[in-house]
Amino acid sequence: MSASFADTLAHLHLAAVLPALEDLVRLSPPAAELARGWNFPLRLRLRGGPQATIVPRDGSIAVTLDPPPRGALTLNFLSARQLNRTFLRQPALPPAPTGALWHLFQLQRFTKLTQRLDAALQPTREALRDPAVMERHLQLLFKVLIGALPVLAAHDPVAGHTLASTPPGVGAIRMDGLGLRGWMRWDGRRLVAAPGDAPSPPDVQISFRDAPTASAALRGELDAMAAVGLGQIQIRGLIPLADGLSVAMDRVESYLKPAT
Amino acid sequence: MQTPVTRSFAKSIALFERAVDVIPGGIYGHNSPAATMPGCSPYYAERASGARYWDVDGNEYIDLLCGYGPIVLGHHHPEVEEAADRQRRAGNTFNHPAPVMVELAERLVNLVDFAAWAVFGKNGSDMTTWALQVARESTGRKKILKSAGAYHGSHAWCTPGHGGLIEEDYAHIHAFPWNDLEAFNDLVKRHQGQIAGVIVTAFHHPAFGDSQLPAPGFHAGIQETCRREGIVLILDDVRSGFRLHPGGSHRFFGFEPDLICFSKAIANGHPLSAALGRAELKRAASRVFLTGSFWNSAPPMAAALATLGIIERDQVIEKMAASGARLREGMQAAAKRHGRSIRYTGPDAMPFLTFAEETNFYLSQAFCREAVRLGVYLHPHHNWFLSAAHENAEIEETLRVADAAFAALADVPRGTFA
Repeated sequence: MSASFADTLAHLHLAAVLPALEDLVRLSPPAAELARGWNFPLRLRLRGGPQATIVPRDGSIAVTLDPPPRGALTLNFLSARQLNRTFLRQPALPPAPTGALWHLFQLQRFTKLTQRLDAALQPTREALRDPAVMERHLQLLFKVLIGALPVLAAHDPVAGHTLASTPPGVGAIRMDGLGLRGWMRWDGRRLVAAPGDAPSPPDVQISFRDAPTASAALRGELDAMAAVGLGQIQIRGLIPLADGLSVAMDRVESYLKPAT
Repeated sequence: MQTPVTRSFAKSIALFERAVDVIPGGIYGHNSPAATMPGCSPYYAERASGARYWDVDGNEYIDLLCGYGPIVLGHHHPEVEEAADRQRRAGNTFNHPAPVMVELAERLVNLVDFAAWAVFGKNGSDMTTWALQVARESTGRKKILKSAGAYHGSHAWCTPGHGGLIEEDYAHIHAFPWNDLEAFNDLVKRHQGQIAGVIVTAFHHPAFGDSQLPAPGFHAGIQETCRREGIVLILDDVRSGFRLHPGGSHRFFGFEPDLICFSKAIANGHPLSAALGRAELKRAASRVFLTGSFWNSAPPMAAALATLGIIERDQVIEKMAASGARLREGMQAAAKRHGRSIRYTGPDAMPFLTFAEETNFYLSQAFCREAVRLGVYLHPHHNWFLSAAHENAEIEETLRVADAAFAALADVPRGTFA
């Protein structure tokens, strides 16, 4: 059964948006500084729902959807609405902390990190004129997109309906102008996606010819059919799989609106 | 016939670049380059004659797609064009239908064994959607069954597209696997008393999939269930109509629907569709509003009368079957010569070729790309069509090109598009 909009958005915040922190600390020196020396697991958990944990890794942070290790400070959200409003920086009851409460004083770093993530995912038009800001923005958007696909396949009714009639297979995406690669595997019931090269020969390859095309696609500003006809996007192989995946990708915008 | 080493599509691309500024997608729908071989095949056509057409760059092709079906006699058949022109000289779109509408309805009712009446539209979608409404009006029920993956048009209840749809568009549309009579009957049982109609194609011809002929007893089994349960059986003969049997493809496969929808080949390329039905459904049909600004336009109806006459006079269906059989034998032989295992599916007049070693169409795309380069338009994802104009010369030339295209596959590494 499809989840409600709020439930799906909560899943997206935890499984797609939060993991983008990993890329943020890699791309942004101030963010890297905030993450340096992170020394405890911080779990965000929706009651009866999904969870995600920021864990220390290699002197920085990583985000995992696996159960947290011992010693985690958990921020408990009672409802998807509360979680979403928190992520959207709208007025909301603060989450109830449990677990390693002695780490509470470190939450300031988390707050600042997420503020930086917000700014990088939703920069102003003026900020986007800086090529470095634009490039970081696109890299993060791509990471969010890859993380969002499995969530949407599982919870979004439109994506679910479309994928139900999408043939199974492995899809590979390349945005060479931005140095981005990702893959997804649809087996008829479950969609898995990750950055990097596909683990097996893809059944469909989707390639973006250049950075402006990739940028327009990631920001939801592209007429994809026109772009294919113009050769700005190349699709080889199992076109119906690309079609189904693109519907799921398009659905991200319904939940996580890009900056305007 | 030119045999260039490479083909230029510069004018097609230039036109497309203009198009994207003023047309969403540039070219939308089934003609979109995104659905075929973008950059490696023409985007715009300029003229056609018989079994051939020319794109805007002057490249010539043997046409194995026939406009996706409408061209059944060959492009620009002189008798059909004269009939349409004669009517056009008298008038095109009036405030009223022309007498040719009555003549055509009478002709079709005589042709189709179970039919007592006919209506007309412009596209297949017009008729398939209207037929669903007639089924609902007749039965007072809501649900429609269709086979999974079947194409019945572009309206919301059946579109293969995704944009602009809401759950309510397909809430009462349920699918069963083609050739699975047990699954069909289970679905009927699950929704017993709620099903208005079942819509089926004569044979299964999904895009991006092998064609499948009906298994013995499949259509008869559906018919039996429909009769027992008071469900209206609709044959969507839009794609296969007038290529298998002049009186409807149900005659070819041995069953009898309650409604039948035609389009594509009915008027050799002139825009027209038709639905015919049993006498018992005429009253319900009369209560379902049916109209369109151009639906009673007379020239396509005149073209249809001429087309139907020629199909019968020249034994066009038998001709296409014979040409199709030669094409099939030649394709299979060529594939074997080059060590390729192919699946050649569907009726001989509407074949589809895929490669047995793949499910992702890489080889199909490479094969068809090469065929286009050498002057035969083949589609990698959609069934092909023959016409009466595909005679020995065209079949032989197609097979020569296919042989070269199979040979070229040796240079295509698995899993890439060369």
